[in-house]
Amino acid sequence: MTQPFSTSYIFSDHFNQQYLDELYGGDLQGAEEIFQSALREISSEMALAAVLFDQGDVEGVRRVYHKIKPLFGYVGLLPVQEFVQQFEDDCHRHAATGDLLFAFNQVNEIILDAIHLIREEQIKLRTYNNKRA
Amino acid sequence: MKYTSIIVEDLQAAADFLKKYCERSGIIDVQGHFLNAEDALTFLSENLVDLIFLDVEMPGLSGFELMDRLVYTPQVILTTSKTEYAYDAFQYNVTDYLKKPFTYQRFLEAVQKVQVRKDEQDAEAGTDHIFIKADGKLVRLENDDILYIESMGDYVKFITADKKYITHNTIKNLEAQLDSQRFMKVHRSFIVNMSRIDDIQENSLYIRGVNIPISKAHKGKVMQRIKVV
Repeated sequence: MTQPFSTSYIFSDHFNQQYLDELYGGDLQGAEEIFQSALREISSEMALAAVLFDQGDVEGVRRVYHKIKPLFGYVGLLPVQEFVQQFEDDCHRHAATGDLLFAFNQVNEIILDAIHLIREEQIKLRTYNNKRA
Repeated sequence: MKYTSIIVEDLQAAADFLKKYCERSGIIDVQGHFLNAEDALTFLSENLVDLIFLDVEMPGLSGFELMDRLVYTPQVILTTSKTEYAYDAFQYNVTDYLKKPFTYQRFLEAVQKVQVRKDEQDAEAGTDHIFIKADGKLVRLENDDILYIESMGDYVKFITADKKYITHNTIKNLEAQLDSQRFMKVHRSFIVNMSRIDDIQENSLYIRGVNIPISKAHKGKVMQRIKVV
């Protein structure tokens, strides 16, 4: 049975250290790469969601949030992943974007905060990895 | 043993993450990553793999629709962020179901299931019969009873002494799955039961009076397999 590696890197408080240790097993280079690609994908999908929301395409919006949801897991922001799941459930319950406006704005605010945190952490990881290289 | 695999996943980060686990395992060889099911099907129409890591919700065809279109049955590990697909996963007889993100330990458990199922399939391949999907049911054919198999595009025709069965499959796939001690591809469109050959003349063989061509590419191997005294 593989045990998570004990690493000297400490993730910032918002991130679930134990969970990230289990996911990456001490592969901090890998973690940095995933943080980077998660950032890229979340940002581009958010732009798409805004367009789909304006078009009134609830199912399209749901699919976008369904797609990006696990990315918050890959970066150890499990409460954000949970919140996105709730918004995805909201999309199932409502047929019109008008009914989703409040929840849509709320989830986007949380995601924007998350993007900021991921970016900061990715820079911190890069600095750490560069020092170790 | 290494297992050949592909990843079908519309999330690049998830695919990158999975590739790292595959590399770390040392036994999963990832031959490609496809962002949608259509591109994966194109690849699979020309390449055989042991295992597919398959997302469910993707643009275009879903993971389940991809499985519906497969002409052969590699093992499938579903990778999804929803648990609601568990029932469908069971219906499709997938090897395992991983909820994204998953730990390396959980990934290894899935890979172990692949190994167990492969062992079971190998043991089954050594038996004296096969099952084919035909006439809306699974039909058991004794290896001995099969005379030859002929390609019909995306379908194949199994010829036995008293009946013909048409099923959705390819010669290439069957070549990999049938008992190689008994069956042999002699032409791009024909696999024959070696024990049922009546005679061979020039570039043809005959089974119960039916002329089956032997291609130049296969002639040498055919002649090596038959016992000429």
